[in-house]
Amino acid sequence: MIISQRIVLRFPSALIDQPIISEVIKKFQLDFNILQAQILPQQEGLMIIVLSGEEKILRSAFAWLKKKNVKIQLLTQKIVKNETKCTHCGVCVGLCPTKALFTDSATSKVLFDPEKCIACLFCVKGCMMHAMEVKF
Amino acid sequence: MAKTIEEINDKIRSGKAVVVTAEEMVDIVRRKGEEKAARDIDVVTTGTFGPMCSSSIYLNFGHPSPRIKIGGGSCLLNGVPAYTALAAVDVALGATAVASLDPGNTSFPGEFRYGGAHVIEDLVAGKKIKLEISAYGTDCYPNKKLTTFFSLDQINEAVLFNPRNCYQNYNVAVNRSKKAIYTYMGVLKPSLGNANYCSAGMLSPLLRDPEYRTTGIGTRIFLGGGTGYVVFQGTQHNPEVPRTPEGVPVRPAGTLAVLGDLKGMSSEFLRGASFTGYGVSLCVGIGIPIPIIDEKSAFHCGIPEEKLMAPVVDYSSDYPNRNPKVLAEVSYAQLRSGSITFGGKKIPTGSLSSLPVARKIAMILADSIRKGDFLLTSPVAQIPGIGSGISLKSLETKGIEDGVA
Repeated sequence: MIISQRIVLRFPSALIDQPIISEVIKKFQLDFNILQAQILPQQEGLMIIVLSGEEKILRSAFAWLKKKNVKIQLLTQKIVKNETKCTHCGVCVGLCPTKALFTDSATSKVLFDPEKCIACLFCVKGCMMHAMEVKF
Repeated sequence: MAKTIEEINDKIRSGKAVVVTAEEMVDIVRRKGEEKAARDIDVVTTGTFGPMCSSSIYLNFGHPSPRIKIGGGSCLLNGVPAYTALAAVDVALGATAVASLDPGNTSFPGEFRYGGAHVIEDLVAGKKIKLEISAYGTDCYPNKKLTTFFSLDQINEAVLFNPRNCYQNYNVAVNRSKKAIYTYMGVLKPSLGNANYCSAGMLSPLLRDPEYRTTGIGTRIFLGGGTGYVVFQGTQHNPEVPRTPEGVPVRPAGTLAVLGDLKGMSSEFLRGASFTGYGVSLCVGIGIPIPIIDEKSAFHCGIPEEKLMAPVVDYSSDYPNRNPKVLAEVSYAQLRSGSITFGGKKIPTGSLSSLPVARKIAMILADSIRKGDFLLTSPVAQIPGIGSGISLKSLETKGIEDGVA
């Protein structure tokens, strides 16, 4: 069965000059879509990517990445909206670059679509109620 | 055809008053015109729920044995310092107080996870609050140190007293610099990355009574889920700002000082807020009933959000340096649409004031008026309005610059 996983990859600075993504894509013949990437010399790199392939192969690819010292985190588990804390003010809506946070036109309530979230963390810093929580 | 507030109260008592929310009233006036709307509608309810920094409580704990005089000493409530110079067992706590061990902005931007506003929220929610007192001790008040826990129902008085709430209109904050800034208007992304506003728009109490005709000293209001009163004009009350032809201010203008019994309030409408890099504030829920005494009241309540304008201000340089520059004026209808266009750029908007909670407040207030549980009041005295000659003063620091101070 082909599945897609949205993941956050963190590359230690020692790996920055290596073509890790190119290698993993070719080696395991995966489909990919890079959502966000920040890779600078001498610094830890961060990439948010969708990887698609057979579940088993995908798992081996993750294992291979881990062996290379790349930290992997599933993105859908990352940002959670705490509905008890949210007052639906909407300050996060203006901060969200992907419209993962949006206002429902009928109720004016703030809704969150985790599928669109790229975990930029702007909402986490911007929410005065601490309603946007980072889950590891 | 004018109605008195007493006539409206008679209708409320007999269950015949027609009460609508400010949002509904805009539609009614659009369809019927203000003359018919004034005849048909008796009361319009408003609502607002947003951060209002100038909020506080004062408490009287009752006396312990042996007695202690907190006045002149120090007092912590859940680790947040309270103001003690009132008397033996009275203290005051402002919403923006930060916990005594809070690192502030030393590691910028600070998180300000717990402060005065959160103590107020916890107290109203019925939680136990840790009380730590140190005092110097006297013959009549010998106790010098005391640590205990208390909850709202165990103390004598708990009063919410907010010197400046309910701002009539407010700035739209943007950032023209090249780096993100952390303000009381929220996180502002660089290069006009977002625009934050803070008003309930057409539901906002003082935008529905723009000339303070029925809202004045003594007005009974919905406050924090309970009942409160307007006790004075708020600090920085500034009625003489530019206005639209309809009479609505286009700058931050009037404010209200409000007070009410904390014991009847709810933590749903008093919520502690943390502004990253800025500090703590209290989100306060307020609803003010507007008696429709004549066509003019109906006209004011019918002004749509397309005609309610707010000033766009740069918070990276102009605001911190007290430069009064306004970059543009935009309507609340535009702000609500999700973006404004300024300088050829489409800027996403975010609101600090919650429209769903404002709506809920206006509906709760409307229901209690319909049921006869909430009667309207005539102001004991008016608050200063157009023609009062008030102008906002600034703090001059000449002496310090000259080295005198």
